[in-house]
Amino acid sequence: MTGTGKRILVALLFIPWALLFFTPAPRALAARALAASERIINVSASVDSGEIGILDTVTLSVSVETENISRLPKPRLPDMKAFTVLNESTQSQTSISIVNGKTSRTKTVVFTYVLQPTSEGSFLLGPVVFEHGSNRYSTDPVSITVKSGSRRRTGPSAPADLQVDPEKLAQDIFIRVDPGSGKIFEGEQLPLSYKLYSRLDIDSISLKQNPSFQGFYIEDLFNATKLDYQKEEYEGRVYTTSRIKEVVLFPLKPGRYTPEPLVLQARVIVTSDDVFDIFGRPYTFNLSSNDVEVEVAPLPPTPDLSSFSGIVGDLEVDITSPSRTVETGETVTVYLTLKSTGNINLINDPGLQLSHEGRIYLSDTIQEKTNGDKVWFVKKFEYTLIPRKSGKLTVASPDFTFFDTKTGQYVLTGTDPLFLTVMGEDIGGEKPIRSRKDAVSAGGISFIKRDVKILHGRPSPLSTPFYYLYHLVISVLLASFVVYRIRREKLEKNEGLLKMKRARRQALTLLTVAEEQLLKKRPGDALGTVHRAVVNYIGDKTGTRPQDVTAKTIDASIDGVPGITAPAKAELRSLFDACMLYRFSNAGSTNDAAVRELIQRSVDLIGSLERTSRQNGGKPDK
Amino acid sequence: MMKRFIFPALLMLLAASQAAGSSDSAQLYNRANDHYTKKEYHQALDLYTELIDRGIENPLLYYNTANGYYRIGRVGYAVLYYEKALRIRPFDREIRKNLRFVRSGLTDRIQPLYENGFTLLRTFFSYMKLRILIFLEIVFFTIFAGFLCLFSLFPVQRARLRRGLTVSGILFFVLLCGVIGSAVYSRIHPSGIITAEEVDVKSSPIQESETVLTLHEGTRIRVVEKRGDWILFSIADGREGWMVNTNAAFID
Repeated sequence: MTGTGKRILVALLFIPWALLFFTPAPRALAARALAASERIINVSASVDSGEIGILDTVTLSVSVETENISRLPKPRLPDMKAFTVLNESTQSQTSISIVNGKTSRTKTVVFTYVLQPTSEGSFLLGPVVFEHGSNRYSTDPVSITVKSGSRRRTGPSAPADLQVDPEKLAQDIFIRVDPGSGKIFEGEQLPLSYKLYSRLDIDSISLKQNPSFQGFYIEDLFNATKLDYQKEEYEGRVYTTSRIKEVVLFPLKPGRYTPEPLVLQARVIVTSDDVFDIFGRPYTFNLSSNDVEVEVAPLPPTPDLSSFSGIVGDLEVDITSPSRTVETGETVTVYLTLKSTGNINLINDPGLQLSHEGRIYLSDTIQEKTNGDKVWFVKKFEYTLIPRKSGKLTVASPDFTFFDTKTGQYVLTGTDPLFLTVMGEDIGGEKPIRSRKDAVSAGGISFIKRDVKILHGRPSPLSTPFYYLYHLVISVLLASFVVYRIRREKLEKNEGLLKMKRARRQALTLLTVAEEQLLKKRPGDALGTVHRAVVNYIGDKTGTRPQDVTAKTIDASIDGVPGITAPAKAELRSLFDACMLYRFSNAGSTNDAAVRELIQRSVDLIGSLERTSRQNGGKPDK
Repeated sequence: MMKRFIFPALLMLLAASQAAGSSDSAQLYNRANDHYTKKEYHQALDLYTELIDRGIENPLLYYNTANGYYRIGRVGYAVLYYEKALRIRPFDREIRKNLRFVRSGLTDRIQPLYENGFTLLRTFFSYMKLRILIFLEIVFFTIFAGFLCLFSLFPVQRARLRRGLTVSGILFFVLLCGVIGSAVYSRIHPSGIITAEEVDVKSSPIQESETVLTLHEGTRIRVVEKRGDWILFSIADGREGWMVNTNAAFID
């Protein structure tokens, strides 16, 4: 079908309908018929609980009872700053009655909204407005009080339209945290691992509330950024589990503590008994971890509080070095490693004791964590040592007192000292530190640079004209040179052109020779040289051999000289004739003045011809 | 006759005035060094910074200034001036050693984005500062010019000279591109050092926006974009964020 055909077909299909729609009479009739039979009987709003916790949700149900209305618009919710809508659904029920032969259809639609409070306090929710046609209906306001924490700690609540059993839901999905015995000493580690157990299809999950552990020193071990599922059996049922958070707490004071729960906002797919609900429906709710209660016992009194490191649990000390021999003045690295289940951050730079004189610096501190039955924390102090006297050097670590939770007693621990062999000459006074090539200077930064007589500024070459000038000058010189060479090579390849270009120089050279000969009182030779200069010039300029320039061919040859004018032609002919005349006359009668005049005339003529030739661009004068 | 002497005289006068300025600067510099050796670091820094404010770009001056800043505990400025000194003298062992030492004590330990296999390349580029590129470019430009002269002068030897001419020409061209590229890139995306003790890096150029990370003085940054007083920058591990530009000082 062509494009025009398609357009005609579309027009035929739509024009009658368009005419029908825009005609006023049928529209008005239809509207009146609808208005006559449709009506809204009742609109009401209610909540499932008037008092909830900030961590709970509340269900707002808006019920609309109608007669003969098949399609209803959604109600307009009031401005709810203190609540966010988590979930919404619609449920309808229709009943048909026949009275005195008249059929009427009653439909009740319940709009259900699951609301999440965002702040605590008492709020007046509503009114919910419902508009149908030109009529406007509104419900009475509903009062809700939001308090701290959760009022429904037994498990998540299900919305009215979803037939979800809260107890079953709480069994199917929960967060479990196990505090162990729940009784620990002050400063002893309390590892807490929050794990999500689920038998449901989780659509999405997000952290709602991170527990704040007041009264504890916290070491975060793990915070999940995505769910990493594993299968695990718990109380005879198989669950899909995922680690959410792992933390180690160190109680700072004795007492009884109940840390806040970890709260997740979960959205799961819930299936109901409805045969049409085979794919299930999403259901959003808050999920809290179980309560944890910890009793922290005080430590027994210590006889020497100043020596107590603050570590409660286990403590292991080790001292190592990658090298056992070192030169005086050179650096060697010594590691003091502390491994503990207690709060190792309480120990800062314990220092090392040296048997001989030497310098020692704390270069670095490395912390590691290892998980096992208990969480071990490793702190590695990196010391840079510079021995100054040769011999055996003993490096010892200080002893540490910690509280052993197994025995319930304070224990003093330490490690065997490290022995180093120091070689080389003893260093007396304060000398510069000599370090290995790649080693970091142990004593800090190197000395300052020396004094100077003149302090030269060294601006960036790009900000000085030198860089650009250098490139410019070299480039210009190079380009000129290359162009010159190219032209010269071109010239050398063209013999005729070369001869033409060199004619003047050759002629002037010969005339100079002639002058010299004249000075040597050899006028005959000078005359011959002048003749040769003139003939060679004509030959070079015309591209003929000099021996071919004779009295017979001179006229034709002169005509070929580029840039020659009639007077110049006459002068050249005259010069040629004079040369021939003097050459073939008696040479002895030739006087110097006549030859000098000939030379001068030749020079003048060649100069004149060259000037004319340059003015004409090297072309013969027309 | 007079004109013939005016230009040389002016040149001599300029040279003399420059020498006098350099000598005066040297005196200040030596006085600053005296203060430094007496552990009067603040006085030393006053003089060093005065010289820097005069526009003197000298590696010794930068190095000693960096040492001074380190001694008073301003590691951010110390790293900045070591970097400035390295820009002029990339092969100076003492500067590199001190910079490495100061960096070892920085609060932020940022792992580079590409770790394995790129260390050698990173080390190579740490030496390839703009000045080194310019130096090499001038050298190869001169060699290329020399080869071109020889090539023009000796037609018979052209077959032999052709390889040298091509290699030197390519190297010169590559280095010239490197110089231009490096200069333009460092102008558009200058490197800097965080000089404020602690900086909250924001997700957008608004003070109230979310803090994405916190950085401390001495951390090297590269500017990605400028918007008013704010700069979008990246650090070695590829993370980006916004901060007010007064929190950092720039090397280039």
